[in-house]
Amino acid sequence: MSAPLACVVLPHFPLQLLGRRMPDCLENPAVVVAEDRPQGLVREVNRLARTARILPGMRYAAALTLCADLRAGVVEARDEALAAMELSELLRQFSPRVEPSSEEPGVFWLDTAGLTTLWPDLQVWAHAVADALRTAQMRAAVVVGYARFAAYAVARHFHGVHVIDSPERQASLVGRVQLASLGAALGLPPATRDALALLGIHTLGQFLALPAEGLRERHGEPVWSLYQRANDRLAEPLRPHLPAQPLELARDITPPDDQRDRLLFVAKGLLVELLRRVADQRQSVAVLHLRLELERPHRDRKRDDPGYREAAPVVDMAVRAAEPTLYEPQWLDLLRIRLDATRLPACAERMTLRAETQPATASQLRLWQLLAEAGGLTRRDLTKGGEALAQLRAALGDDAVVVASLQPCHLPEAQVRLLPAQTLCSPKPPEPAPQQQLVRRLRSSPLRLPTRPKREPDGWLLSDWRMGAVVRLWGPFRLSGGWWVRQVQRDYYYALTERGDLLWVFYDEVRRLWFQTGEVG
Amino acid sequence: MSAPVRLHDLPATETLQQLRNQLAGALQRKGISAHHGGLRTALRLPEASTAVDRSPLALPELVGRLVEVAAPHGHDRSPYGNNSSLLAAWAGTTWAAGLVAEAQRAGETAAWVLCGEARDGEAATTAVRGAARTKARTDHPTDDLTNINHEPPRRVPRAPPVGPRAWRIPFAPDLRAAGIDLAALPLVRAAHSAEVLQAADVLLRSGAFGLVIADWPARTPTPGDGAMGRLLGLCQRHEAALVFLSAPYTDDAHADQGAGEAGGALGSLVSLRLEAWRTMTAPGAFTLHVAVRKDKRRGPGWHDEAPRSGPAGIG
Repeated sequence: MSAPLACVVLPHFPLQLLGRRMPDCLENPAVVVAEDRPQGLVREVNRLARTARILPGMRYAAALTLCADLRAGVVEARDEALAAMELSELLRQFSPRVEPSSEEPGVFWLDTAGLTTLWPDLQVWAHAVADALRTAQMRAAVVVGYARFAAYAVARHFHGVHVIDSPERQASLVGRVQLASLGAALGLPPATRDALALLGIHTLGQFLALPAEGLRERHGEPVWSLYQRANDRLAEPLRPHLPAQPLELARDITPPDDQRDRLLFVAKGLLVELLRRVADQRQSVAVLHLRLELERPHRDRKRDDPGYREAAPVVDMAVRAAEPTLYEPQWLDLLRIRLDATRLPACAERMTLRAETQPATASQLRLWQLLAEAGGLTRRDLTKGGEALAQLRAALGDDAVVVASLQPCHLPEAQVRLLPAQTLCSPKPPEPAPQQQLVRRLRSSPLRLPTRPKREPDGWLLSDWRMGAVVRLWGPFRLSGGWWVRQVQRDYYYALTERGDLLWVFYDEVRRLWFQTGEVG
Repeated sequence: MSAPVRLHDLPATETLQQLRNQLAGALQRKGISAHHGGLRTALRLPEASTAVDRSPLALPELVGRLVEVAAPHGHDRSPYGNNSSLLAAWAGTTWAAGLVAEAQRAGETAAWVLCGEARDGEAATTAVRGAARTKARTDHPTDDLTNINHEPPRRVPRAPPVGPRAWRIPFAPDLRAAGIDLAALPLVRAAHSAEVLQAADVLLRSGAFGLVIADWPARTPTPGDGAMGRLLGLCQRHEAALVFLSAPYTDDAHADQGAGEAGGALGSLVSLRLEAWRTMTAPGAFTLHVAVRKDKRRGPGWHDEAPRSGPAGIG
């Protein structure tokens, strides 16, 4: 059972965002549509619209025929992401570790460890969280529970504030949660839910009573994954997001100057670098703050003069684009216009450029990279990389620099072929496997292990006594073949030692010897 | 460098595809071929996620820094009981593979420097350390006279080891499953720790690599501040990250040495020191733990966990 944590669920998140943007949606029938056109699909429906028999999945034109007073608006994924960021900042006032759900916008998990020393109890804390969200015009359910999914499920089904006092109570509440209450991303697919409803299974309690393997076989991995989550069998630690660090660059202007063109030249150098850093973080610039520190009036004074310690005069200005953008010429234009309109009382000796950012859209990032590459701003010079590899070959030997190539073979060492690396190429990474796995290391030549004695009073000791004895073996995984050239017959095992080493070993049936071929690291 | 393409000079478009075509045409008119490698790559960019990894372990946070991934130090966090050292459960390779995948997804180039060891499994430098120390004494007879500040003895220059070498190479199918383009990941097989530093220096100096992973063998004396300072300067100049995996071998001799501060083996110029280990939560299911033990920017204390599955067959 995990440590206590809290889950904050904002039901009908897109609809609530629409209500914040268009307050008259709260008192009239309102829907969130996927696109702003008559054929756009209805995504979310408020209670008044549902009374008018408007349901999600309808076309907007059809919904309008049912209710002439219908209010509608588009809430894009980016709007939801921005709102989630804003609410994360708000929730960070109540817990330093806040994780917004990447699967379902409007769901947040908060670490409650140590909060009872700051708050009288978690009940007060949970109510304070709900009140703060209400002030931000958001309706939320706050549940403090003992497991990640359980807290989420209870928050989705039982609205309001709940502090679960024991794991047993949590299990009882989770058992009563309706499957239909769970969100689309973290719950069951509608087809599966309907299929289960035909069998009379409506609650999580009934769902968890089903045989696990049967569920996996009949309904596939997503349902199996939900089953594991609901049973708290998946290791899902809290992965909080850190608050954004301001992106800021500064440069001294030597000699100090007040000429617009020269200042703009300095700003351009900073801007290019700043935009690159912003794009690296998959953000886009919404506002640029420019700070000019002017020459100090006391520059020529002596230390004992009264004005010596006066702070340097500073000129602050900010420019805001119509839309957040990474397009450098647009920002330069805005800076030029602002500098034109500013009269500096003295020469500037230091310039600081700071960016306020928002998440960038995928197309913005693509466009930025496209223009950067077309403009010859590619960050890494692959030719120089190839020269470095050649230097290493000369220094360490021709076979010292290699790249791995996969081969369709069975033996582990035959699956990898090391080819000389002549040049450095730009990476085109494949899609990672859905379930990340531990990475093994393969020895370039298997290490021969001592012969296994018949009597092992201290257990089976491998090459190093410090590892301790083998406490568990997985295997054998037999590989045999090659009889037409050189027969290979090996039994592969994973051996877990007392110290925790997970070694990859095999027994060579032909040579009757044990070898270590690698380890899990 | 060609002149920038101004978006407001282009005709309005309805879709992104049309915008791409417009851009390709405009760039061609400015003398940049539509078959330009970078342009083609950019046009094929997959849908980028807008999610931002703001953890102190994300690649942008490591740029310009020396990072050490050590084994957990001490017995109090042992998942296998108080009588066992935690070095065995070290999982730096898995964490480093994830970092390389992240770098490649961001368009960065990466390289991995491996350190050899004697074929019998003993760490490379162990056999030659005594001989090298003797040699250092005889080569620099005036060291004691010039050491007016009473500094500790200078570190021993490492003599090249003799005999056949063996390397523990990250298993390529696992790297590919982690999302790494193997063709764009050069593996440099260094024979010993001095060659590891040399290789890292050459790679970083070229400015062509954004991330260099380097294995640092156990039982190796701490490298000199001069070499580490040079590497740090190269990282900062070329905006690259150098990550030392200081315990890639299941060997607890380095813990006994007590080298460096807080279990570190690479000296004080390391800006970020991590401990990475794994625990088995269920048969076939593991958790990768990463704890920050030293962070010159944010301070220590960060702890991250991520689920990982074991290799096929464990379960």
